[in-house]
Amino acid sequence: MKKNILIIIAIALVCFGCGRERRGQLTQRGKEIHDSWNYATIQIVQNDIIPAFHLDAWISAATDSARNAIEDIFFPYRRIRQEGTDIYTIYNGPNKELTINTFGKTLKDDGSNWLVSKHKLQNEGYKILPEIFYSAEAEKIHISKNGDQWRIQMDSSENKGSICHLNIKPLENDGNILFNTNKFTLSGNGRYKYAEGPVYLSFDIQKTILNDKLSYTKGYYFVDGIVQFLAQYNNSNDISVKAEYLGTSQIAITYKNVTEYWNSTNLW
Amino acid sequence: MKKTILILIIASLGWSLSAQDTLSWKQTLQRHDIYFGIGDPLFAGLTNDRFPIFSKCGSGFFSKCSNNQGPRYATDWFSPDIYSSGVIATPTISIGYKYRIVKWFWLGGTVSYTGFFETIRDRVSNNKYATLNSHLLTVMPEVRFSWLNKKYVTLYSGIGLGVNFIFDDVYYSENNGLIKAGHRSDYVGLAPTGQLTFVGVHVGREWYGFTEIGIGTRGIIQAGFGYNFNSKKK
Repeated sequence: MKKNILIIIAIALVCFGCGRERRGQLTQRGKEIHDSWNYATIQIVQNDIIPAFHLDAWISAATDSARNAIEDIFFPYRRIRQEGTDIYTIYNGPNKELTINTFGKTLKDDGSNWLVSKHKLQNEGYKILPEIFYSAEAEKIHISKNGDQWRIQMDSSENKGSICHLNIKPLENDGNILFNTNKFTLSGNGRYKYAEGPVYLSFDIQKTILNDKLSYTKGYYFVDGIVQFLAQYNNSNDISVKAEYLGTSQIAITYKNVTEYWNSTNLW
Repeated sequence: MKKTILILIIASLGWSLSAQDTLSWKQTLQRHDIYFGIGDPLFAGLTNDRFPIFSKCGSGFFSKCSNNQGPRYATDWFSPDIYSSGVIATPTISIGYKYRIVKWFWLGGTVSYTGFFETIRDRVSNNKYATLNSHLLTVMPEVRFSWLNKKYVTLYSGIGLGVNFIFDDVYYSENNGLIKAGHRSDYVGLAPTGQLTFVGVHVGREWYGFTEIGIGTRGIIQAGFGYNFNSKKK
């Protein structure tokens, strides 16, 4: 009888505290919002803007051998074709990736105003990304010289409602080649539109972002800078998030007045 | 013909011996059995979807950590940022009765209760967002096959088929900011259920303790006590 009572107690104790979900980090929602912006912005810079600068080097190359060297370094698996006056297309196999209209100037010329049109659909799995990523013809970026920086502009009507007004400045150039490495600064503001909702994510770079060199094992790093975000959707409460980059290994996310530190090797 | 008559005589003798043996079990073994038992709520939780088998990290029995958590949308950012602080389950409490029809065969039933109590909290403030409670009432006719019937020890197996009546009891706090605060009780419905007892053991004569191993709403392991009565004596 006593043994049975002990068994009963043991069974009863086992039942408590089952199925506990971890609270996890408090700012994970804010981190997710930041990650969406971060990934989208990096993709725009990596896939649209920096190739434009490398094309600029290719166009400006003094000799064929220099041009071939630029193509070998920066477009190893791509083809560049001139398809009209001042219009160049970058191909990946048979597929168009970018079409760039230079309007007769190089990016080093004052008054330059290139139009970069993306053709490539990007399948990013389950990442939350702005609508421009899900349309093959919905990303048009204007690049114009602005002193020692370049203005990056996306207009709402050409980009499914997303806009941006950024300034990008390469920090390591090699004569003709701007963006010889991927060290640059980024400043400005904008707003991404997401198809679902629609949701709008406004961003304002409050402290200039510094991007360190590309590491092929870890991706781009924003190692300095502060960005303020505001996510908006219909009549829901706005969500405010602040991200501060603290070197190569840490990012501080502030969400609902709570600040937590995240490892930036797992930005997305 | 002679062989046939001889076989019939022997068979009739065997019948009378059997009759004498039947009479003796009624004298020595009880026919009525009422019992109270406590079992684990695992099966009840699985069938009531309170203990998911596969889930994200940290939840459920077979937690599966995966970076690929399915499609997410920007609108999800505006859903409540909440988490479950845990599901507390009561043991499955059972009360039953069985009647021994013949020495080895019982017929009866069990009524069981299992409760699940879960608190949902706001992730950042940790304030209570809601409580999600479920009450499972099981009514189950059962049969028992006792294959060892001694004076103080009985070994048996059994099977039952019944229904679960499920009641949900939800409370939203004023902190949730989305749904009107208050209490809502809903009768969710009923669902079929069962219990398969692989082996059970009773120890005792009138008052006894028991332990069972099986699978079903009453639990994988169950233990308790009971009372046998109405033993016929010559």
